[in-house]
Amino acid sequence: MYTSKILSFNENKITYTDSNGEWEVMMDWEDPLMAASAAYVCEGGGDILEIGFGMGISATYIQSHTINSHTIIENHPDMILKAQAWAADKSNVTIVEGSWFDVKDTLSTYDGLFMDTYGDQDMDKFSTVLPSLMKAGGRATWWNSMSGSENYYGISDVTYDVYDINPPLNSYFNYNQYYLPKKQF
Amino acid sequence: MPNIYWTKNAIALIGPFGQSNFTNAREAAESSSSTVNTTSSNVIASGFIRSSGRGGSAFGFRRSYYGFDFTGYTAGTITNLVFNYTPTTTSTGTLSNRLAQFNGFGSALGSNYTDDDWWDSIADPLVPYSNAFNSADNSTAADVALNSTAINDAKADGFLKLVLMNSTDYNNFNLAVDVSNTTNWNIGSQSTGKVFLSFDYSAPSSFADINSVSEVQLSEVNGVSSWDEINGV
Repeated sequence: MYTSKILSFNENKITYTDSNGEWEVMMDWEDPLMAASAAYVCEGGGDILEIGFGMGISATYIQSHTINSHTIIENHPDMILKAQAWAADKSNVTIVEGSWFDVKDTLSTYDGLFMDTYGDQDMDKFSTVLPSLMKAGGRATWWNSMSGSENYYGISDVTYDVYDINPPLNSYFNYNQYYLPKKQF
Repeated sequence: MPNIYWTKNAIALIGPFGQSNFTNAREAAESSSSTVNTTSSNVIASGFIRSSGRGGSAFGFRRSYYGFDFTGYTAGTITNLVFNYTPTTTSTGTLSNRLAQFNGFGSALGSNYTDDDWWDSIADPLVPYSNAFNSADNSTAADVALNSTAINDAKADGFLKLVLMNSTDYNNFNLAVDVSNTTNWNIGSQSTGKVFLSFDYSAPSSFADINSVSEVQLSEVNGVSSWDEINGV
């Protein structure tokens, strides 16, 4: 279970190690992708839901836009501490502890949603739950692990912006193009 | 009861890093790395790993391949063919495994495993050489019975080649939960190692050799009343 792993926070990445080796959870080469993801979900301003805090890169970009509220769900105990520290001086940020699936019924609806989890045992339920979290006209995106204009969740009516990237060899994404999914409700 | 130790072996793997599709990893054109003819201890002889990562899952498979030289035993009768192995105490998860037909190592075991043997040299559809068996998480020598298909294949050309697969791999069953099933074994040498076959062997009648009469024609020999008559033929 990912949430029981001891994370290692380095300057440019978050990792953990198990019997299969070292796994990267997030790396700073994603910065431009995080910026673009944040920009898309904040296009309409309003209330933003971010599922997964990670290195806080996207959260910082979201804060750079004009929004009303910023709700962040995080389930890894090590990450929760990081998120709380990051949010301490931000009045419009709420940190929700737990799995997004477990807390979904306590949430509101949002103008923008960015889903980027790791070791998520409820991923397959995301496409079903997503519409219930969105306001009309709301914009959603998510980390897209696929290599082309398709998405793991099978969400329909999605458009993609393509970004050329050159990630270092890592355990989760090794393509040279990132297809950023855009779904508007 | 003769023992035959491995002539060829290989420990091979693919993923989990960079393998986001179960089938693509399992049936890949090439393993991502392999070690041939190892005598090492505590190797991962088989395994299946599923790890939910970033926006999807990563899949890893580990297999080991073995070739045995039966050329001294093709004329007689082989029974009770058994695959012997010695596990270690570092295995993880579910240790259900299966042995199946492998067609690599070239003719007469003249070639080493290469990465493109990973899937292409496994019989398709899979041909089982054993029932599913559990490799224990201990260091006690163990064995698993091989079936008549394995015996027939060993006798057919004098070589038996097989692959050890985790049951998830063998059954082509993509688990919906994260697992790390790794079966660890000691391999050992080609003469006194931990991986070998044992069996009962009945040599053919010496009459066949003496008189050039095939084994299936022994009734003709048996019908002769005395050595003198044979020698007079």
